[in-house]
Amino acid sequence: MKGRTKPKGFGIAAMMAVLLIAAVSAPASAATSVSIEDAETVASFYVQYIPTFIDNYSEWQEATVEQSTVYYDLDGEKSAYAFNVIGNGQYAGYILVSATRDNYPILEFSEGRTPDAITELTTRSETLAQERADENGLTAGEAKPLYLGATFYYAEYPLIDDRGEVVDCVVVDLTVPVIVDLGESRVEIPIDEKDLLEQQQMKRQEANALWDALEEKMKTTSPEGPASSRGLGWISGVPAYEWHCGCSPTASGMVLGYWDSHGYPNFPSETTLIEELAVAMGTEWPGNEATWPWEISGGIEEVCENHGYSNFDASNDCWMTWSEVKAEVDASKPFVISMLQGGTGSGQSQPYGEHSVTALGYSDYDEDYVFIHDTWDEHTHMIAFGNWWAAMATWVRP
Amino acid sequence: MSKIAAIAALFMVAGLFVWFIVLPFVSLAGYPPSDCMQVWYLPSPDYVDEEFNVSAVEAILDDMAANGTCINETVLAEYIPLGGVVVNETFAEYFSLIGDRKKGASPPFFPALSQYCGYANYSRTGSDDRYLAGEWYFDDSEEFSRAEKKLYRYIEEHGRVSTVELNISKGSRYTPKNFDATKYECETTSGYFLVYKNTFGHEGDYFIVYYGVVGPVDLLNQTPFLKVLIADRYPTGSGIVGDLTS
Repeated sequence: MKGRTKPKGFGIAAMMAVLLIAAVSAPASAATSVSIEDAETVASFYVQYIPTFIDNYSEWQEATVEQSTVYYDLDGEKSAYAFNVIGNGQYAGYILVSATRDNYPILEFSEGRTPDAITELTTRSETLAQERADENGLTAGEAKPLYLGATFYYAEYPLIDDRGEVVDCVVVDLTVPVIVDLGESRVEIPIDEKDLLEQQQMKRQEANALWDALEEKMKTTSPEGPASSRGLGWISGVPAYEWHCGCSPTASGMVLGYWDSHGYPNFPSETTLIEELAVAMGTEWPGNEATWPWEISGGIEEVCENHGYSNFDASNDCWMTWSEVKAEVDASKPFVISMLQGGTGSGQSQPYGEHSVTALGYSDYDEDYVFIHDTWDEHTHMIAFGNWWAAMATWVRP
Repeated sequence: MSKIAAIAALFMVAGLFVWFIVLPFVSLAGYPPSDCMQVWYLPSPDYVDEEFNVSAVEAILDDMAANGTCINETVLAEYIPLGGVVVNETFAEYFSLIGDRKKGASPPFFPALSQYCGYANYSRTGSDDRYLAGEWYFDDSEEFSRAEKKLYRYIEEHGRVSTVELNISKGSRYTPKNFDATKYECETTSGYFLVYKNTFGHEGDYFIVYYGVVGPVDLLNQTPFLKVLIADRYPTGSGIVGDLTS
């Protein structure tokens, strides 16, 4: 899902329009409709989730949402809800949530404005509608906002006669703006009905799966908001290898061992993996089994490439911050921390000194703790963030 | 320059000093401490960190924090599973750990030799045989030599002792093909003693390890299984492997 800075859709291809219109024009049943309250919950969650994967939206981290516009489809069913995003008390953008589970939950978000909130566009649209009404001796009534698919914003104006009865309507494409005859374009484009139904069915299934996934994510995430503001973070399934060939290859081995069971199954077993890492990162093994810190990232990438994974990016970061630690854990990416004069981990009797460990979680309360596998045993330990003279992170990202 | 900018600059300089002046002279080895060494060569299954309901624990911690409880290591250890979970119960082809590896406990059937010691019991798939792995760790060469002699005298008095050559294979291209071991046969337990010296890449680590079967057994028949047990934790890097010196 990409944010949009400005609604697009000028010069719409008729074919696209028909496809999109058809895709959302099926009436939503009660079972698939989404209430505005539920949509607001989704919007509240999602605006704070967006900054975790798009840097440009960092100011949305503490943002709230407020109801803005309800959109309809051509059958008069609700199609989407727009919510204004409010950051620091000011308008910071909008997010559009589907009003039916038959469409994708998050339809759009942007730091801009929806076309129906841009005065210039609405004024022009009203003028066009009134001109059409005048031609027929009628009056254009209040617009009903339509959302017919990505960036397809329309306004439907009822045309009212002298007796106050609605006798016709006119639909204006808000983004151009221009009056459109949707009925005409529907019959103009030849589309295989069977294919269209199949596409609709596939889209519904896909959309339903996305709703389920989003709801699951909302369940497993703190009600206070997004992952990045959570108090506890934990990556399960990180292996606990015991020291072999040196701490840096062992700690790095645990990271790759995690990825081995999470979609990258070509890595060898524990002992061989650690030995390959030791060789790749120039560990003095056999020897004093020590590793120069700056060799860690290159060694990891080399081993990844040797096993067919050239997409892995490993980078050493001498300025590891607490927010980076949290973000990496929240993104389920274990990483290596190499310490100088590291303190004593929980449950251990001796300080870590010059040591590499694998980070797999955090606790962000009175004191900040990092959960680690320290290579000294099979348990998980914790160390207070900053309980070292200096520390370097090696981020490992496929 | 404002005060904040000056402090920031100071931190930058300090950071640069640490990473570009100090770091080039510091390599990372992270040798385990003695109390971890005492069970180092006792085979164990693979572990991963445990999955748990993070949101539920977080909700508890949130409440505690809201009520003024300090969320420290003790509190976290109470609610977060730090022990790890076993990936596969069976490891080293056919062995399962009975209970845990016992840290600081002297291996049964033998005298106390070091404060750093431990042992573990194992079962083997498809048999009723019980296996024992024991270990004594020393960080002092003289203490190690005294203990070695003491143990040798003890096993000579209680069973039949000889030096044999064993060969093992392990999934490592660096594994030596063969090494000497002290064979011990007795009514209570029979197996092999090994001595590992400086296997962590620096001077000063000494281990006496024992891999055996509990009860009266034919050691010849059990040797293939014991070799698998030995191979599971066999040191593949630097150091010396050998038998007990009398």
